[in-house]
Amino acid sequence: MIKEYFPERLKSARQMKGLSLRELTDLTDGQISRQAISQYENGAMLPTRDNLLHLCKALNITPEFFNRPTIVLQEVEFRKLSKLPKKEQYRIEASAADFLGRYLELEELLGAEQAFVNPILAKNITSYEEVEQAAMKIRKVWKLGENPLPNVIEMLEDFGLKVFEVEAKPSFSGMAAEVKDKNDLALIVVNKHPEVEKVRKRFTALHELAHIVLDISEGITEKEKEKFCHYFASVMLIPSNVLTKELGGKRHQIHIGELLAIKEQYGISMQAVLYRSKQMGLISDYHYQQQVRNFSQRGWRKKEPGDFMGKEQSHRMLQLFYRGVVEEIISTSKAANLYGTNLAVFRKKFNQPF
Amino acid sequence: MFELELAIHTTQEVYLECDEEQQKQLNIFIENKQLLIHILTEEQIKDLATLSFSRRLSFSDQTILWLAHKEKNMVLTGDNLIRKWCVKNELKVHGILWVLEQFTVHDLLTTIKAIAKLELLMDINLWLPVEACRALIQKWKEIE
Repeated sequence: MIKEYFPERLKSARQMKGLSLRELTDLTDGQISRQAISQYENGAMLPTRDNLLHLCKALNITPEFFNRPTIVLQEVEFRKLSKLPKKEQYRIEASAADFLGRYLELEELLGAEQAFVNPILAKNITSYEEVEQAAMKIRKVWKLGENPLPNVIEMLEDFGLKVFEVEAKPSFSGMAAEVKDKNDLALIVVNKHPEVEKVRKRFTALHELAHIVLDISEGITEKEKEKFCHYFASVMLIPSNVLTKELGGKRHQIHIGELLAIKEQYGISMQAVLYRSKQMGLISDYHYQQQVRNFSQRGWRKKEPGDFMGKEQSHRMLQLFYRGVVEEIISTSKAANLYGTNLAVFRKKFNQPF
Repeated sequence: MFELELAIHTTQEVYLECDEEQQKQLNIFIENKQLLIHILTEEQIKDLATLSFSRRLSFSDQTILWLAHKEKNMVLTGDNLIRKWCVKNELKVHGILWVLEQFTVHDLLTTIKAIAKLELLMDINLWLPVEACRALIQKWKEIE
């Protein structure tokens, strides 16, 4: 246990479990009082060895958890979290910060640090044209061509961003965060709740990327900024010329089957395709409204049919674990610790039962 | 393993690395005093820090190595990084293959059963050293 880290780490561990002081006391079977936990978190007192072990057991962590500093996240886009209950906000933030801390230590031990470089140089963005240019610039710099993006989360990690998948209430889509005094670090959080479709996860991850890379003019309202980020995500998923080609130019009507095919191939929701088609003038406002009514009547505004055919998850961190253990750079117990679990769980996950 | 004539020690940190089911199984041996769990004191943790362990080892690993180093005991581990530390620091170190071999030496397991157990282990544990496993199986077959 590193004394100077302990107060923040304890608070963080408690918040990650979504526990109040009272609830943590109960989980220690009353061995540690609420006041004592409060004093530990304020740095007024340190636990005895026995109490430290009681805390570890109650929080399902190992003592090593307290040997790592807490990372302070700076929210780029805090608004989405503020819709959630306070306890849930803290849980997501603390879990994201812990994930980032473990990820960075793993990278450091393996000498696999990866900095994020923002390819967008444009400042004071004020128009959709500039947003589109920015998205196309990223597609160009990252050599993505115009094809569908096979795995957005893995792509973001390949280019130096860190993506954390948290299981939260389905109403939470995601958030972006930066780390104090670290310009080359950016974190995107997406919801891995089973009810969150892959297309929504993809769109959210790219929307959050927009918040990180776009320097939107201060004169733009928050609502409009959100629309810019939506537009950026939409262009990243399907460039305008590709959408025009898929639809064969300006249309009077679009069949649901066409929208479904685009959704499955490009991993973008049917509603996002419709909205974008309206923005680009490929369909009329009237047809757009007609389709929106159609979607509402079928209950598709909340849950559309179909989903993206590909996978949507990153393997980078897992690969680093495999490399670290097999190359004997880190011990299996250390790997388990950095994975955020105990050795027993880690061994099951990594097929190493003994 | 607890039938081998060995005094088996571990630390609370390592015990906490086990899941509930494993802890439940170990508790029987702890109650029978066949497995001794060491809870390091603050003074002992300070002493552990003097060994300047690499951050590549977990704190649990460090507690075991500190304990073995202090008592000049043998270490049982499946982890090569821990094994290397032991070799460097002149501590005896063995793994699961040694334990299986001891079972046969002390007639706790016939070699036929040991071969079956090891083959099963090789199927479910992809991290075992295949060459060493095969050599041991061959040795047992020759005994038969």
